Amino acid sequence: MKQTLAIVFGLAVILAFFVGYEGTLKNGVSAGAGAQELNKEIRVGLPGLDDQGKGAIAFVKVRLAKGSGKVFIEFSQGEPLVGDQTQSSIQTAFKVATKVAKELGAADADGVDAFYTFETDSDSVSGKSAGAAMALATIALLTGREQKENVLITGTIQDDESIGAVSGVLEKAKAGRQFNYTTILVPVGTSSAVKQEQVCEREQQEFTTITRCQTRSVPVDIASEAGITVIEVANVRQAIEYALK
Amino acid sequence: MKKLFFALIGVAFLSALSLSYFLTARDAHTVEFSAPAITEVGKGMLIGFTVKATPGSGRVLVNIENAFYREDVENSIKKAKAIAGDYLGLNPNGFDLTIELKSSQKIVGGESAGVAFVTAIAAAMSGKKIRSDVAVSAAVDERGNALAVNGVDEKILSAIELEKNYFIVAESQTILHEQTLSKSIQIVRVKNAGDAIKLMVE
Repeated sequence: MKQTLAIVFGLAVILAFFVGYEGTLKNGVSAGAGAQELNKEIRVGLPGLDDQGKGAIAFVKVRLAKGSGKVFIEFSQGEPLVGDQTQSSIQTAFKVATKVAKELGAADADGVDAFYTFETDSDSVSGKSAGAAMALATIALLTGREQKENVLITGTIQDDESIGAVSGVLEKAKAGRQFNYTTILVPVGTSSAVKQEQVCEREQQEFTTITRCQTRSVPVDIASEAGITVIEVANVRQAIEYALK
Repeated sequence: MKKLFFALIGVAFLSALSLSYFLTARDAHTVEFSAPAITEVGKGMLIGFTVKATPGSGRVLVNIENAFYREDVENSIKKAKAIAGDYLGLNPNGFDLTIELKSSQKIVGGESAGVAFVTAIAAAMSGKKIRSDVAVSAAVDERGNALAVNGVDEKILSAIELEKNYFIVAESQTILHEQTLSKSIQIVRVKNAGDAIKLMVE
């Protein structure tokens, strides 16, 4: 009996230690990264192009913590490498987002650090086309507004809040449709594209038929081609109207 | 008697829970170190970094406020964390690492800071510090072997200018002006990152 009680006692102590230790680690209770969580996190889709030029959707998780305006990216094992152009884009996105959020009345826009983590099947993320998406996601967190789950955005973000042109909008729109997004916001002037089409003409002659084919550039309306609503936006504030609740 | 026993179990349980909390909720440990580099005009310089280790879940967070990091540096950092963990016999996924540059640079590129990152991360994870009189410039492979780098003469010169006493390089490193430079600084050759850790971490 005494032995049983002693075993129970020992197990209780070990269990308590284990629960406390793991729970503390998981909740990041330390003076390090993530210690002063604002419990603000958002995950948004990023339309992009894979190595073959085909449209694909990656994701970025944006998290805020109490801080002083620092911007961090995550390089952990299993996460993709982040190109320096994308890093530059993140910096601009954060700068624009804090400025816009402050003007929209966000109380703690200056006192935060931001953390950006990418999820993709690719080994790396590169380019600036996710800038507008990251700016919007950061604004959503700072202002406490939710982002509409069925709306995507593609475009660079400039210091003056404008959203700049990117390539492959048609492919990105198609990828968005495959992932069940219903709307994609695009930079001004990019809601139509040009695709190469082979057009053949047949000429019936006396004893034979001659077929002449040529490749032509054909204008394409992206919304019709991709089966998704396409809205052009000039800047972040216009994008907010469509993307945030 | 039974009530007393269950009360004792309750107290022991709460004590163990509290003890585990205080053991993990310790202060982060930050290490400062310098990595030799070459500027755009080919001059050597030492770039200051800090590495902070906290109990966590294996995240590596890099502050991009002061510079952008090329993909080879990102690879270098990922490798360095795994190698440091192996050397110390610690699970690197038990720590979150935060890496920051101390001054503004445009872009940080190249793998020549590989061993430097390994030693700094090892120091941060083990609560120790890096000797301030030593600089190191060597890349590192997945197994922790130290590899030769470019522009080492210029880097050694910058270390001399900053009054470092020792400069660590890979065993296979060619130094064009070794004879001249070694009059002003002690050049130490290492086979692997583990050897560098032994020399630099105190």
